[in-house]
Amino acid sequence: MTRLTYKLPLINAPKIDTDLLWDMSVLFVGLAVVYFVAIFFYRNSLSKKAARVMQRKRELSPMISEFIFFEEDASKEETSNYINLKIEIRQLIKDDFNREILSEVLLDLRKDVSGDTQKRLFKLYQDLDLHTDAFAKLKSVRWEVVSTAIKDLTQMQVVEAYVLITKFINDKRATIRKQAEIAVVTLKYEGLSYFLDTTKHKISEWQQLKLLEVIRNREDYQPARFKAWLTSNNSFVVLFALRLIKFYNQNDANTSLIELIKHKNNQIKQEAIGCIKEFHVVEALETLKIVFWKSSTDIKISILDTIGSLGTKTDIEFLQLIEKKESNFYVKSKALSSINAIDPESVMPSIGILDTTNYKIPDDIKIPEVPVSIDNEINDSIELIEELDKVITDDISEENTEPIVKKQKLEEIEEQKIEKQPVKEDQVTEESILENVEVVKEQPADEISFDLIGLDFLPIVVDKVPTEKESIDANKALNTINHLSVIFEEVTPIDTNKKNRSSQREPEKSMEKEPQTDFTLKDLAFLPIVVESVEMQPTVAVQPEETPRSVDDMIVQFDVVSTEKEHIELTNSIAAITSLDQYNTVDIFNINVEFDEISITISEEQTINNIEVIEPNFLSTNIEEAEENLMDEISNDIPVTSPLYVEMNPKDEEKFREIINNIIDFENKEEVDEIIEEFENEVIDINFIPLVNDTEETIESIEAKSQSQNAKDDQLEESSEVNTDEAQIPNAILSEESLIPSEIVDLNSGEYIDQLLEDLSEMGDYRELPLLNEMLEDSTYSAVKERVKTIIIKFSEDVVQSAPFKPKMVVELKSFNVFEDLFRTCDSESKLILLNEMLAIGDKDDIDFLESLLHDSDEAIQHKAALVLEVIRLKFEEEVDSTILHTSNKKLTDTTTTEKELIASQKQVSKKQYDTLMNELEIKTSLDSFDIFELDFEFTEEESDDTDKEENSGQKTTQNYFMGPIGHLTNKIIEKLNG
Amino acid sequence: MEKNRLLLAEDDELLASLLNFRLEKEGYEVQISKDGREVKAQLKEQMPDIIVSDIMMPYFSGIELIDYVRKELNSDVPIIIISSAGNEENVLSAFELGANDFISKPINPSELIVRLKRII
Repeated sequence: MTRLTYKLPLINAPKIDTDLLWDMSVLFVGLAVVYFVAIFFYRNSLSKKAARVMQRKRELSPMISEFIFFEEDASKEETSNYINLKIEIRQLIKDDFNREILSEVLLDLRKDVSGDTQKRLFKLYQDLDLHTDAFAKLKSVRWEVVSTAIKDLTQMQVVEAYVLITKFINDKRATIRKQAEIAVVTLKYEGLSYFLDTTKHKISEWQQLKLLEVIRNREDYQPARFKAWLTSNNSFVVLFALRLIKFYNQNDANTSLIELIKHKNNQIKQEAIGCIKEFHVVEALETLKIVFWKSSTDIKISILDTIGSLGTKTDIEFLQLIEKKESNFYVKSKALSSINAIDPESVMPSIGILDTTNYKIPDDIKIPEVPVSIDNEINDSIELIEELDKVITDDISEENTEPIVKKQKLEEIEEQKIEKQPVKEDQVTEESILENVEVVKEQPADEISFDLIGLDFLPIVVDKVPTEKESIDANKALNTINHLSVIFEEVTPIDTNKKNRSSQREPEKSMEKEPQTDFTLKDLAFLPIVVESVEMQPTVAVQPEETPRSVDDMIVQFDVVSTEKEHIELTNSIAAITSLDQYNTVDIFNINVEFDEISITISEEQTINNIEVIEPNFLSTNIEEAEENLMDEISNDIPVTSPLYVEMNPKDEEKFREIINNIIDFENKEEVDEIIEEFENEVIDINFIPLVNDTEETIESIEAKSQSQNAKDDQLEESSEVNTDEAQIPNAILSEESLIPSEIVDLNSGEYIDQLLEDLSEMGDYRELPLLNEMLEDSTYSAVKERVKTIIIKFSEDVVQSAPFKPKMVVELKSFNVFEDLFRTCDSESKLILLNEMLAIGDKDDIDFLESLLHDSDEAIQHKAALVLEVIRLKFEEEVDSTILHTSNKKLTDTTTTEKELIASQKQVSKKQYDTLMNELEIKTSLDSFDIFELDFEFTEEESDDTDKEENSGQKTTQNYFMGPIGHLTNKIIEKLNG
Repeated sequence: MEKNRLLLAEDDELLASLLNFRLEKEGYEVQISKDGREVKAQLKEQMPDIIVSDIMMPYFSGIELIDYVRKELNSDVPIIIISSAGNEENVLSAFELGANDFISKPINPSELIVRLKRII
């Protein structure tokens, strides 16, 4: 027997190909490495890009700031910088990356700024042609790109994009469509109408809200009559129109609204019912009743609500019918509520109400008496009074004195309250309540009114400064006034504060002891003294000599400065001020008075009687008495406190005449004498008129008073705010410097003339000859004359030696041209850009420079320069034409039609030619008057023009005469510096 | 004439740069801080004449800044707060803590200038 043995492996493990495994491992590791490396690089590149973007933004933001805040009236340097910057930015935006960054920056800034800055931002966006990128994006097939482009154009208010965007209103892609809808409504006023007219798609609720927000935020938006869209085929448009009608309260579509109640669309129906309720369209009630039975529950409830709001009692029957027939609980409840709305409490709660007729109260239970309401009424009254009083008194002062009286009053009321016994409900009648309430009412007015309410907050109003008589009356009336406890809220002068406070603390005491402290004119110290000028009287400038110590001092120390013909009367003012003086405690000297010019006027009659005329000595008039008084003061080295007249010794007089001679350029001496005579007779005697009063007080008495007052008010003198510098001025009146401007003194000074002549001889040339001749004529000093003559000879020799004299040379000097300057450092491309700029802002001054460019080595520049030159010439001609046309239209009103037509046709031809050239240069002619880049580069010297004009006019004003030489010299120096 | 030193605390660099330009043109000496830490450092270094600060800033909000200036530095330097629209609660808090004025974003630079002039 053969024994067969089978060897079968129990586990047949597959042979593992380790090589493959290794290969796979390597592969996956490799992939992982690649993945991580890719991620690393990608992340790195993103970071780098972000950093680059940030860096570029940082670089661009100052440029943008400069552009945005560039003012048209900027200086030359700023304008030059601006143009450089513009060239730089033009170069930058040639790179797409930079363009993108710049757009981003502007869009970011738009969110953060508003007002004028935002408008300039929009302008800049378009001026840099960044909107053209957005236009290009509109053609993209990617919805997100198109949507972003529309959003950008909308945000930057590019109105030009309106037409392009309207095409997307019915786009099949919802995002683009919605963006387009918002853009259209934002960009133009008529956008909403266009949108409602053309849209075929659904307008979502959210979109409606957004559109409404856009409209609401538009300035000066005039809404269209939205009833026009109630007939639209698009039910969403009808719905939106209804909402707009409701929002803008357009109640002129009642018939349409009634028709829309019958609409099959519940939303429209609902909205129409809402409008009907809002606009109270009563005519719609019948239709509502008809529509009711076929409506959904929500609509039924709305209809019932509207009927409840608009209906009358005749509609109750309909509502009761609904209540009976309607199965829906909500509708039934609404019907009942509407009935109650029309006729309140006609339907009373009936379900679950128990019948109480058979209820019996046990005999041993007493119904408690209800203590009603008189108590409550009185309590209310007391609370009300308390509150009122508290509010008022808290505001005014915590230390008010009324509480005593107030407490008494309240105690009385409390007592009355306590005396009142509780009453039964049936005893309480309206009459009884009124009777009891009147307990408070009937209190005597003098007891309640002031004490309880407190009138302390009321300020004292004084409508005028009291006269002497009035002040006496006021004193008499003081007792009456003192009965009022007046608390001043106005801040009183510092030194009186303490007094006031103490008087507030102890009002009664202070009223007794110092009856005037509560109401004194100290408290009116903040008011300036105003003396009204009645007629066109000449004015007298009055300045304080020193800090006045009393009212009297103030009067005495007025110092006459001006020298005009006038009559003075201080009668009224003095009377007023002296009456003020009667209030001894008045701190009138703390008033900080600006003594610039107080116009003091008086009637002629009073003047004649009362004015004591004091004339200056040199005019052979004097008032010895007054002089003696003053001499005493002067001899004692006391500053003159009463300069009521001007003393001028013969020496001064001579000087004065000399000054007059120097100042006024008269043909002959006679005229000067005439003027002086006139001055003596008319002007002087008026200006040195003393201060006069019609009271019995003389100047001496006033002075005496002032001296006695001085002793009292030493302390006040220190705190006085009157400017002591100014107070010293009156003495200066006697000097010639005070009579003529300081510049004149300088001009005539030897030092100045020396310096001027030295400068002229060093820097000047033949052009100074007219000035020198003028100086030769004017100068009184022989030394100066000699020097001037030498310089004239020197310059004359120069003229002979140099080229023939060309007076127009100055005018023909080549003006500074900013473009020419920039051209020197530019490459060809920048030059072309600059030429574009010249096209935009150039003027006739650039023509010479452009002509020179016609010979440029670069043909492109030659060509462009020729075109620009042509345009500028045309523009210039057009300007001239328009000026001529404008003037001729005024003058020649009877010009024949043919002539007008001829001018017009010429202008049209020029315009066409201009437009053609502009088209050739691919530049759009701007209709907008304001253009951030349209700058007027007029670098001509306006000052010199003005000077020329003045010279041509031949009119020499006094100022021109004095300042002329300086002006000439300055202009000439500027001209020289400008080359 | 000495220029008024103004500390502008604004994290938005673009806006800060724009305002900086405008304010410098108006004659202010402007220091810009991008976040609260910088603000603190600058305040310790030198106290400006006026602070214009955004409410929302990294590390240190405008509200905290006011608190810091008023309580810790014990300074009454005028502070104008820049806040976004609809941030009334923060504005109220700012005023409670001692802000002198506020201006809402979007900012009208001219308005800011007027407010600054009024305060200074």
